[in-house]
Amino acid sequence: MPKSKSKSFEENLNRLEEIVRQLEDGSAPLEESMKLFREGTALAASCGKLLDEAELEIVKLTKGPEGTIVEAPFEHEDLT
Amino acid sequence: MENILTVTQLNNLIKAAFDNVPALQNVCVRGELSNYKLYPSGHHYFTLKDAEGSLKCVLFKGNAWSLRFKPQNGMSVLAVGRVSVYPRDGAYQLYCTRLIPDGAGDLQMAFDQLKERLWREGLFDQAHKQALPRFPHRIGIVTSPAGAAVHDMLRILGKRWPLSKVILLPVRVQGEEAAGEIARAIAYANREALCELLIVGRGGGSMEDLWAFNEEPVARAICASKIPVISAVGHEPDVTISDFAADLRAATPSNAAELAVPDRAELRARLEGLQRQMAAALQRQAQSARGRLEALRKRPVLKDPLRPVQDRRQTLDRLTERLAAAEASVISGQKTRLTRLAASLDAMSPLKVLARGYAVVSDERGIVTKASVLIPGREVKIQFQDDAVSAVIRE
Repeated sequence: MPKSKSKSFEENLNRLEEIVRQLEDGSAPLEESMKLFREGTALAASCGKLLDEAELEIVKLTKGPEGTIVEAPFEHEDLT
Repeated sequence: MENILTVTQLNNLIKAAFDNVPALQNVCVRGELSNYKLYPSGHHYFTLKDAEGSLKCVLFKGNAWSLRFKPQNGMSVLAVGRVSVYPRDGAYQLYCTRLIPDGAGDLQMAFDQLKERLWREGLFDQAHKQALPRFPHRIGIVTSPAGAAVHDMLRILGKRWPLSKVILLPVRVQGEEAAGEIARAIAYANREALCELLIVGRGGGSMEDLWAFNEEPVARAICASKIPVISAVGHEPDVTISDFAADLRAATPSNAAELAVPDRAELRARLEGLQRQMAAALQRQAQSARGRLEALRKRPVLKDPLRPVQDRRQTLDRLTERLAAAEASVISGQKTRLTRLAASLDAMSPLKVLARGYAVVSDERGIVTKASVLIPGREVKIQFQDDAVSAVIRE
């Protein structure tokens, strides 16, 4: 299973929060701080992209052949 | 009379007889409140009456938590409890555990009884409540696939947090089969580790419509769920047993969707905030580095970098000078001494003595310093300043 968008977002956000903490701590050398800043900016951008582009994935559990339970697409009109 | 009892013995006998009747252990009596009195101890005392009879009742402080209304004389109420004897008065009375206004109906009664039972069992303890995940990656919704509730939830989830995956577990939400289906769906989600968060609920309806969410199997399935559960049943005023059992009660299904996920608009703002914090922190660091650099630049070593060398140079020159001076003084001292020694040497020279008119007499044995050692007839040598002559000792 590919990593979910929500999980990517959470990981990126956690890393970004960690970077902000490190930068505010100010103990890293300036060069390292600039590297962190660049990484943080990229993380924020990818988080923003996830937020902007995501579409809710909806599935419905249903009984498949031989009584097994399988995922099926869920058709629902007008979610906006 | 072969068996005489004391009053206490008899009262205790009667009490034991009452306590042995199962039907008296859990009764529900309808009657009119009279002589109601709340004592400072927190115990409630009252009498229940109907047209023909009366019954003494007590609601002890420990059970009074369930009292949701203020009892008043004349009110028609239902009293739940057990009947037993108070030996001191020789009177039987109803030991109430619940006192509720009459007219609430059978369902309300069943609701109250189940709620109390599960509450006593500790199913609703705050200690059991699980925290909701900050970002649920997969959200399971146990509800009817038809109807407004699921529609509302999906719309709000899609608007607030479209990064999640929603898994619908379609169930019937009313009728005889509903409770079993709901409980099984919750258990299935747990068995399959289907999601990080469950929403269990349905839209509004009558108390009968919502009844499945007041049934014990549903309450127990919710309590047993390792996946945090949000209960989302009916409208705001509707309270179900599921609400008590769940980790979080939502007022409505829409509210459940709002509670389930973060709002992406808020997260956008959070991201912007973090970026600002990051930029500010970096700027602060750069500024402080610049400040340090300025301060260093002002330090003498950087302002006049050759100065320490020059200082040392000067010291060296001074030392060289002192060394030369010291050397010179040593040499001249030695010279003076030498002159003095030469002078005294000169003064002691025998030539100098001869010059003053002395002469040195010697014979074959050496220099003669006493006349007594001279032997007459022998030749001696006399050394003068300029030359030596021979002489013979006469006498």
